[in-house]
Amino acid sequence: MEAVSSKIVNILVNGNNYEVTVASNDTLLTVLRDKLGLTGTKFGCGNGECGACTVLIDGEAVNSCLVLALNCEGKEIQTIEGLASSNGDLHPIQQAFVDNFAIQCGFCTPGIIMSTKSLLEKNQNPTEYEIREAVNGNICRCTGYENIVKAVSAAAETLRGK
Amino acid sequence: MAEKFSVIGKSIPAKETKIKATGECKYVDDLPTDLHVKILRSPYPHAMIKNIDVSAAEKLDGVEAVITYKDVPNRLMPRGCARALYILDPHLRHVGDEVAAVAAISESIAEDALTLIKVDYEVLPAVFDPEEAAKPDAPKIYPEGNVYGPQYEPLHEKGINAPTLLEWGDINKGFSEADVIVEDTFEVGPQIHAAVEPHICITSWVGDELTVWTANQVPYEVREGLAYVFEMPESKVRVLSPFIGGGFGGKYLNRYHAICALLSKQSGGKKTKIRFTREEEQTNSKRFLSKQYIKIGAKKDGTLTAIYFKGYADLGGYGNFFGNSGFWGEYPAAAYKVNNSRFEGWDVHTNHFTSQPMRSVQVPATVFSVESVIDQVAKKLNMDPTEFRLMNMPQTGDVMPPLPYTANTVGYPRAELEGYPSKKLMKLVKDELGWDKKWKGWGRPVEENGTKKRGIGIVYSGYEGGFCHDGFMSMAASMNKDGSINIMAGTQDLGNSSNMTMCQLAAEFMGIPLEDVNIFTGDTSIGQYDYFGARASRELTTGGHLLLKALEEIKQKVRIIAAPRLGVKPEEVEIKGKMAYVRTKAETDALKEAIPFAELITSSITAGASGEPGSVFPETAPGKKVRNSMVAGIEVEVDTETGEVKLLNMVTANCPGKAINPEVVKGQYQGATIMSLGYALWEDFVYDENKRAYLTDSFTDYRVPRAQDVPPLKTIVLEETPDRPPHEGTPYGAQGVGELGCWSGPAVVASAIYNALGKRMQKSPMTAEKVLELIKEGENK
Amino acid sequence: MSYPHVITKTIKEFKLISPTTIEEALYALNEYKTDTRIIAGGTDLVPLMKHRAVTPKYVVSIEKLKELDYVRLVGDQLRIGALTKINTIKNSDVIMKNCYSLYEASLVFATPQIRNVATIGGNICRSSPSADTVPSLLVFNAQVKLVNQKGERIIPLEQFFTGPGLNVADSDLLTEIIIPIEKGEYGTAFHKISRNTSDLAKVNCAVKVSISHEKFSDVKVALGAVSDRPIRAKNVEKLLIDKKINAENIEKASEMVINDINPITDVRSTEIYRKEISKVLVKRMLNLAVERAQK
Repeated sequence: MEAVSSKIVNILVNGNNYEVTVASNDTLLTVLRDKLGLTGTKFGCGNGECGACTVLIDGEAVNSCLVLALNCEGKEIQTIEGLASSNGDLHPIQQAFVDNFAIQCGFCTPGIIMSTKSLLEKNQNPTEYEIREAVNGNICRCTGYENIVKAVSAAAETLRGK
Repeated sequence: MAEKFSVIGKSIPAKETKIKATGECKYVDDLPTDLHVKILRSPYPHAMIKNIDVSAAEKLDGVEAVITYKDVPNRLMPRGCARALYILDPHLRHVGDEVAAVAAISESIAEDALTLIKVDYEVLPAVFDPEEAAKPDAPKIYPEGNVYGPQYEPLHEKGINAPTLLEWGDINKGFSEADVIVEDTFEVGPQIHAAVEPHICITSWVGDELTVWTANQVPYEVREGLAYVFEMPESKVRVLSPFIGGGFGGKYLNRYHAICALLSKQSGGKKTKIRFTREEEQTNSKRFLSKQYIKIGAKKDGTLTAIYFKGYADLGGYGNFFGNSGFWGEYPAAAYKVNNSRFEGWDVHTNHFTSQPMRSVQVPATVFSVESVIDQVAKKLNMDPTEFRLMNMPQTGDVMPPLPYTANTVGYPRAELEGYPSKKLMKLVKDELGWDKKWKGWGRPVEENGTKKRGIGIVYSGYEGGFCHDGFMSMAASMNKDGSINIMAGTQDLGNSSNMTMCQLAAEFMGIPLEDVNIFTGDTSIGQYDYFGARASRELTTGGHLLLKALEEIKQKVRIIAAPRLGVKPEEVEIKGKMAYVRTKAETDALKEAIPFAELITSSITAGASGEPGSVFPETAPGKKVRNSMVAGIEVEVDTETGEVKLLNMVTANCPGKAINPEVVKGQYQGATIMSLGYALWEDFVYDENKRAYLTDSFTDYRVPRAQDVPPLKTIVLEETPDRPPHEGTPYGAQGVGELGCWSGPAVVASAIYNALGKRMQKSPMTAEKVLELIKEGENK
Repeated sequence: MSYPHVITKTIKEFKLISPTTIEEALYALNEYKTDTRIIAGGTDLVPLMKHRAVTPKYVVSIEKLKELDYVRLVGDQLRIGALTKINTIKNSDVIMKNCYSLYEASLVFATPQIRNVATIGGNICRSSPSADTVPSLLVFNAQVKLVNQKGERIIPLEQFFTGPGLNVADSDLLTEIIIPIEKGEYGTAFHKISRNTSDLAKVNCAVKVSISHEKFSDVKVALGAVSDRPIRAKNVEKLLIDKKINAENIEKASEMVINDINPITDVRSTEIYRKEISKVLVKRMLNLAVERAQK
């Protein structure tokens, strides 16, 4: 049990194993964006308030700006880049966000889609209350959330049909 | 217009939403950089730098450049329409004002370097209230005084304190004719833009060329300002604004662009990047604080006779945009048919950070005040508030203002309203809200349940729907040999689908499929121009108008080429669907003889359009004027023991003229409406003078609406289009749609609270603390 | 937070220690006594480090101590491991059945992302006067287990807090929260008043009442964000015990809360407002808890 200031770790992101040098004061967000080049996850506040940096760790939505990257070793991380299939087809959640005009400036979108994914993995038939609750940690300043709620509902319907 | 449309009027998601959904979309923060920039900021609201020592910071390992006011050009950087700035200035005008800046190989080294800078400040007295700051003995933020304006006469430069004044008819006569007069004062706090994407800029100054990547609503303003302050030709400054993570009026040219550029130059051309922290973002730009005094007179029969408005607006230390109330000055007289009115707007600098427009200059605050007094007048007359408004609101075809101006008429000619179905909107909202059943009379709740009281309110407003300064923008289009269209746009897409909207306009106008249109924007090297940028929904009204003018010119060029081949005059040639044919013949016969472009042209055809120099076309056709109109209603439940206001149900009805992309239009209204509810209830702005701190510098303590805060919302869109050619005036009669959704929040919530409690809020935001204080006050209003 | 001369958002370098057993953790805490912080979910500590409000040399991460992540009923005690996430509490039937007010607190605790990582132990150790889980724990007379290399001690949670952000834990590890569960009829309720959803409390309040023969046989009232630490409203409690359950008694007792609290004005609310709504909250939670107890 050593006191570590920096270490080479293996982290699993979107099914790919990355070997990367991580400092103790690196957040998961920093590592994803600056070291792995996965810039789909956004910096909005750095304080865990806005949700723009939401990723899934072992299936649960978290603010990656608050997570120490060294603690991520051995965990399964999913980011927005892992959703669309390799042939470029959008994930049903992504498609629903496009089709329902739930994207304006788009800066909060990756985070909200990840929160949605976390919800729909557990609950494929969410009520409007449950949808709003699931995205309440994500600030969207553009849409007023109306179309986001519609999109999540539509995505759930598509996923149920699968 | 009986014409059937094939592309406009259809809801089509913007092309880039797909890459926004996958995370592939590269915002400026996603681009690479060499160095990170951090700014040392003033801990005092008003101070002079007496001494600054950066030697220790410069020596820190990893630091590549440090600048202070001593290193910047002795030249003021002009901005589109605001006070010019030195890149750094020893005179600090607000907490957070820029003191010095560092470029280093990492953010943490840059931060460490800031802690090594030693500064001696001479602390000066500060002033935070615009009314106080306007007094002659107030601490001077500028040597000539704190009052800025009036709008069209910069008298402050001559040291003359004067308000922006607008006058119609005879205000004294108006009040003398009134049977009922109500006067009241109001205060509306600032609202912070608080986009989720913080301000950001990357610069690269290599040799004599400067490249800037920034999320910006007005990239040409950035180019112009930087070129001027660094004495470079504009051709050598390239500004790219690929995607913007939310603007709302907050992202214009500012010091950080120039600071970043200078640090790039000093570090030998390395890429320098600044990304604001959330704390910097929340203390960078805000909507004006305003204090307003309103007096309205009416006759017994309900006819309005006079509206008097006096307001003080806080511009902050600098102001950005015309720091100016003239932009809402017309509102009091523009929204109602009243012959006599006077507007007096004082724009005053204070020691707060900069005020900028936010989804319109200051309309929401003014709507709050004016509608609150309109309500009180209706009550005195014992009239239903909706009936009173219906009686006095103008509608399509009315000439506004009813009487000519008697003072300061620049920019506001009288004109006949176009696309202004105000009365229909009122009826739609009343029906949807169930007004006639629910209205129980003034100050009487719809329902009482223990400590909870329900109230309803309806407000109306109408104002400019996109300022059309066509002389300050250019748009170009190129028709390729295959008939497809490239648009080279001066406009900037803010994430509001303006690019898609432009493509739809072009496809419709040329009669080609949407897939055949492509748009290039967000890069000054495209060679177009826009002085005012993506503000006031000008992308559609002005950009769309110029685009159709350019396309019409292309059509005309093809007509001239095709006319001899078709054996007719050019004006008889129709251009549609990549063919030229004779318009006068029956279409089926004409199409048989149509000549495809491939046989007509051997090169692409390009045309550009810009208005006459200096031209603003507030008139959309001779004597006509497009105006936004909207009506909003809400039902709230007030907890009389806690002051909490629960939003139960909201209905809005808005007219966009022609909705080019209906779901996009609706999305603009919805987003703006929710933003205005945040403004009305939760988005309090708190500065602590003792701590010299903005306490609302985070999303923890600046409470923007979240998904669970939003009430059930019905958004009604009512189109009304004028009968005129699509390229004369606003395109197809479309109006700007980005602003009007946010005009109603404070006004409609205050009206509903009044009807629940019988007491009126005079301050917004209407936090539970303020509502409870009102409840505990003995006196009825 | 007052406006800093320099706004920092990067964390100062530190050394991370990641024990995998409690013994290792205690060893580390003993070894690095000074300049050390414990990190669990990190939702409070990471922002503090980013703003350099705290700059520890060592951070002991306890998140690998899976043995501290549990909710279980042991005899007449509900035991919650310190590393139990708020979301686990939100989804726990055991908690919903036995400690309903704590379940209610978990519903309005921050955001889903925070609930997924923040732990109950972390919420207690942060010792914020407004901590949402604490009032419920106080009304249940919860105890906390503090462990160090020398041994363990169990103290009432009420004695744990010593001021805003301050507590009695030194180089101790808080490992468990112990909640005694009564057999008889009782009811609990929690409510938070905040600016909008997912916000910190202006005031939060939990109540637990036990009823016997239409009288209050026991009453516990606790509030947050109205003093320098979460507090019990003992003046209210005293006035109700053995009294008949009726609106008048509840109303009268609720007014007494004013003697238990000492709120301040800050960015979230005002002293006056906090005083007013403390009375209202206590009254409403008493009524709700009584209603639930009678069911």
